[in-house]
Amino acid sequence: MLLHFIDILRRTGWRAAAMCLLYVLPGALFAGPLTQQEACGRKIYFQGTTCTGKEIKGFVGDLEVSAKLQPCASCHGADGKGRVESGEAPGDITWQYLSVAYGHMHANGRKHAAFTPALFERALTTGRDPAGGKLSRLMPRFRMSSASSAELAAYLKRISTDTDPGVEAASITVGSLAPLQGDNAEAGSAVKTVLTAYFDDLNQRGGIYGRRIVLRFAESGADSVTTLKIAKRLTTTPVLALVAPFVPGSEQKLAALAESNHTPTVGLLALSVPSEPANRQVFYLLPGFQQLEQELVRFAAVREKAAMEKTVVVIADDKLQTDVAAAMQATWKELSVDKPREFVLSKTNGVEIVRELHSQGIEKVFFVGDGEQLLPWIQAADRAEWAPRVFLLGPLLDGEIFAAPARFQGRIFAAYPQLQPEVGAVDQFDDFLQRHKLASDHRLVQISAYCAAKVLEDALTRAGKNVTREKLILSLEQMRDYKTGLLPGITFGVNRRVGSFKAEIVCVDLASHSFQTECGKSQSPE
Amino acid sequence: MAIVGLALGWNVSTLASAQPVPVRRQSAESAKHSMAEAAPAPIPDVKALDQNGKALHFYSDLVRGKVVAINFVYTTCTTICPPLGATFGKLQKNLGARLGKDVFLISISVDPATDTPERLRAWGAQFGAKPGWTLVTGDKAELNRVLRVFGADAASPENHSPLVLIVNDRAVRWKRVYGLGSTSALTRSIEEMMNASSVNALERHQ
Repeated sequence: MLLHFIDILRRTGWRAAAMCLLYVLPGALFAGPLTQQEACGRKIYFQGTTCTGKEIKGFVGDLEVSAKLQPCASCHGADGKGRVESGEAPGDITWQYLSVAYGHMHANGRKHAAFTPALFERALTTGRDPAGGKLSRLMPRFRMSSASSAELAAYLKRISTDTDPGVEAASITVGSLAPLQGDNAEAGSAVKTVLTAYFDDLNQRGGIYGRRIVLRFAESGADSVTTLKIAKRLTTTPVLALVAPFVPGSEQKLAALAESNHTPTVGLLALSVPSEPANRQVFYLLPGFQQLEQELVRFAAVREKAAMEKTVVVIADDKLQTDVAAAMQATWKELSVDKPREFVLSKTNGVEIVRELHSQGIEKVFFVGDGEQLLPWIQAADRAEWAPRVFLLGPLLDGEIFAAPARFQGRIFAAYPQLQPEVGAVDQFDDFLQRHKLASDHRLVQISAYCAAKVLEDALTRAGKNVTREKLILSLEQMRDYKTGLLPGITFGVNRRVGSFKAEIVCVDLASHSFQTECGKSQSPE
Repeated sequence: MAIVGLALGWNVSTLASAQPVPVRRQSAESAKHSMAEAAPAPIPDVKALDQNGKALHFYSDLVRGKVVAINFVYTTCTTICPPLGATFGKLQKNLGARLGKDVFLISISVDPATDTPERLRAWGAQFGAKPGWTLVTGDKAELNRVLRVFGADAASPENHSPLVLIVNDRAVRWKRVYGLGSTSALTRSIEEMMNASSVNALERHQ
């Protein structure tokens, strides 16, 4: 057998043989899925609860502690190898080490023979090593059943070969979802095709550390409830992370699901982006309404410097107002100005609001609503010969804004997430679309999906070969000003989950039906 | 002693210059041997933030005229901080109605760059932090001034001190107790300090 092997080496070359080894060796490190017992042990190790959800408690001296707040992994590490902190040294508890034939000699002179499953249980529950010596005072004495102790021991035998979901010897699986039917079908399809094409290219280049990236795509449902069901199913299959999920109307619920399933989500496409990172798992690339509204406020205050009594907020969309209210409030505070008065626009009181605001000499209006809600109101203002400056959220506008009366030339401003296309990169992106025969449609959605995949690739690369979900998150948190070539530099951090806060305020040029950084003056009398 | 000091992340020169009597590391059994000492240095009145984002001055708002127990934590710490937090949680129960009235708890972040008020609030909530237990963050350079005076500044957050510092400001007395020992001994130490009177010389309990 050996001679035969050497003969093959001789004939095919050492290089080919080395390649074979590369396929064989990593395979040995991936010992297949966990058994039920090992999986329950893993739950105890990382979450401090049994498979039935029972919280494990213990004592540190006279202090009762919960394994949920300090599970084994928090002191002994995700790999079971231990670490040193503040002079304390929780040790290596992989079973290979615990059961080593010649026993342990600890730094403080304590020594004992190897652990057996029974001695392991005794250590957990009474704090004694195999020789009867006391373990560190910081190691809790746990109240746990023999079955739980056996589950934990079973997992500790596997911990060195356990990998996170979606990570296999030759592949990493990531998931995404988007609608392929209904109003958003085209945009959803753009997400699917761009991601598929991106990972195809990446795999052609050799993947990441020799692993190809497998995209598991799920078509989202017709309504929020179905979409969430599909998302839940997707996040319970072995995927390491989600990339560029597009679920209009269900973004917040998907974010909550990602958090509860501990699934990192890179580049969730969303119009509403929380200002405070309440969720550790979800990373956004671009600013949402909250951040755009803040930029509008700063822009209006800095540029105009007029008194805030001449400024009001007109609310046409309740739900949107709930999203942006806190962000706007924070910005009024930041600029040390009083919060302006708010008026709620309904289908019937538009003319009345126009009359009241006109009579008060209002000069600036923050309009919280979309283009369709704005148009009739702005037409009423025109009939009353009143043209305040109007500040809007760009992503809510469609072509209808150009039907605004001529009086409003140079007076309507919209905030968009800023893009920062670099010359070579745009060509590369167009090339990419052409090569994969993708139409340049829904460009912002395409760019978002493309950049999300790019960001994921960079983070996975920096996370190293033994990638886990936790390492991916830490890697993303270290991202500083990463240039995708199409967006402003992406920066994340321990407390930062929005890649770029940059917004672009543009003026609606009614004459040329376009958005400009500066608009020509109005032709009609003020 | 120096080795113990280094292991606990203390600045040994601070120890040598600040106190004439060496402070011993506490264990549950030897809590009796804790020593009260006169405060080595005035506590800087630096600007800081509490877990609700409220701006305050460390000394004048949190310590002046009060009895406080202070520990040193950071929210991304996973080894000794959970038991430090759980210990303070237990202390809250033991101190009962006296907390927030006669005695106060303070947790100072040794990683203020990461520990925003929101993070501290969420961290404290795990251990049931009530009014009377303030978690403090702020500018790193400013907080370091306080940590240095307490002998709790360290080269990196991972080497932070597991001690609890009990201060009776009116009596101008400090006491250092091991923060991970018996909670009943820690409670007793705090109660002793609450009843402490001002001293000119150092005492040594047998």
